Amino acid sequence: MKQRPSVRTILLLAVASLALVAGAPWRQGAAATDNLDDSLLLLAASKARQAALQANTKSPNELRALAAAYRQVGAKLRSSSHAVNQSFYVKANEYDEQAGVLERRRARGGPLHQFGNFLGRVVGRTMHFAGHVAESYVEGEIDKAIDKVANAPARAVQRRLNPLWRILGSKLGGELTGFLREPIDRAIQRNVDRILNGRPHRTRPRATVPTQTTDPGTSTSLTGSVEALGEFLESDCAVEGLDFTSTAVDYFTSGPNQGPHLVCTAGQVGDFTITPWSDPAQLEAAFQQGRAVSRAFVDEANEWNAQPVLDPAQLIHVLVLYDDSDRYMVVITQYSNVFNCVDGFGIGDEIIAGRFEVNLSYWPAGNCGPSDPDAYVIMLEKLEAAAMAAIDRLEDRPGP
Amino acid sequence: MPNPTASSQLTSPAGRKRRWGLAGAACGCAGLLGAACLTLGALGWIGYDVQRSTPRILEGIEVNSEAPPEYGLTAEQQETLTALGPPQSFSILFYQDTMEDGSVYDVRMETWTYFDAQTEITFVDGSRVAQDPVVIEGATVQPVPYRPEQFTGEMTLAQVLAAANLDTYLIVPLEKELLPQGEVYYADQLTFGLKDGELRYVESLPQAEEG
Repeated sequence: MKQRPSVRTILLLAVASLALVAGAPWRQGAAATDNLDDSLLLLAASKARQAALQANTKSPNELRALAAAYRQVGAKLRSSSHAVNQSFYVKANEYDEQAGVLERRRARGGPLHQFGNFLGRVVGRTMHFAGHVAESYVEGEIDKAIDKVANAPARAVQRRLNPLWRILGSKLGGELTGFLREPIDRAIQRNVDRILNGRPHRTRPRATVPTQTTDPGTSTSLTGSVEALGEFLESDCAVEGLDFTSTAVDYFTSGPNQGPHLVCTAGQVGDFTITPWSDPAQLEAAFQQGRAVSRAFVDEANEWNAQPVLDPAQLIHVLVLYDDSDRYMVVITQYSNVFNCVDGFGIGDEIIAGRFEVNLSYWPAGNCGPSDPDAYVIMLEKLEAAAMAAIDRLEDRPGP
Repeated sequence: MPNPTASSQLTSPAGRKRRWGLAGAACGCAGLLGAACLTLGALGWIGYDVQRSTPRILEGIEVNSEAPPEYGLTAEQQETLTALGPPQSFSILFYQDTMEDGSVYDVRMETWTYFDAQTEITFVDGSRVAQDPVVIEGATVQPVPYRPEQFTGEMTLAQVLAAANLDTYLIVPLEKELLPQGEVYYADQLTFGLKDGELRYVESLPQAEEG
């Protein structure tokens, strides 16, 4: 008796034929370039789904988080590594464009999408992809399915346990933005440190400023190869409204300005650095390089604004505060995709007292900074005032 | 001797009409059959594509693969273990970097978190590169049943399942606009991500008791 082919066989043959015709597109990604960004996108995707961020098209998606992180880290590098800074800025723009495509895809839905899902289930069940394993499709909210699988509900209820990410999320920047951004920012920064300090990883000597106040005239001996602490104090980092979590004296171990420079960093919010130079010509060159990179941000913004078809909400606002021979300061903002929020940054480069190069950066984490662009200006001025106060203290100190 | 009746049937106008009619019907049937096959194939293809991109939970998995050898901790990591014990939580990123001479090498960046000691240590290829404060006030974190050294770069799904002894997981394929060939997985107190079938990210998901 002749056997009729089963539905499964027919479907398999049909899929196989179409795959041949279509050139098996599921294989095309096999040669994709391996890099940190792929791993970070997996991390971001995992966290976004834990918080169901991907379900809300108004939420910052994974690619926007990556773009913002690259911009932030790139801004910090504008003086020390022009090439890396520029490459990060280009990368951030590419991710922003890709993020728009992803947002449009996620905004899609409707009957056709539902029919596709139905069809997918029919095909999956008919063809038994999972073999003998019990397979169930996730209906509705993905975060609830994650809770079910990843957080062992029976034990959680019994012991009144909660997934830690909820607690962490509420502490890291609210609305889970920090929860998504913090590990991405950190990983990119660590990778940049690794790249700039040599591959494989070699740590640059770094000394954290001790908590106790040091007599400015006394040099503090530190462990390892690091020489004196220099003349900077932790109190030099005091800026009203900013909590500096990382105060450090970094040492350039090579190059013309070898020696200590002050780095005051307030988490993911802002920082300023003071670098003393002994050669005025080299100081001028460093300042000009920093200014050129800052101006590149302005040029990029102007180029963006010059697009023929642009929604007014997408315009980037550029406010050049100073463009002098020894000071360049700019605030660049854009309305965020979060209601009543402004996304942006303020950066500055200047020469003070003829021998100090000062770099300023104010860059709130996430895509929801202060609602008023003027707040960026005020914070930048506060950072500048703190840097000038530190230099005044050093300049007023009587010599040995 | 030729059969005049048969010959006239083939050459007569009525016979030719019948012959063309039969041929037309056959072509029509073949066309319909082809169209049906194409439609079925297209639907199957769409269904397959959607099915592959639909999040789903798989339970009752029996892993036949053996767990690969564990990652060898460095002296710095051993020191940390001795001083602080196993991390209460950890995350690891696996990626590749290119040297200036063009050669590619693997990088393992891992963060060990100690909530009780309020500190988080980052290692790159086993070298400690940073230590950051971490504060979770008003919560006691339960340790996770995994160790960082259980996971190595380029592990396959089967190897991850074997290493972590998992029999249930949720797979979430990522949109191709986000990361082609990227998949995120969730299992008991664990999440991990594969790209092109290789492990690129793993993180433990601890639970906490509030109050």
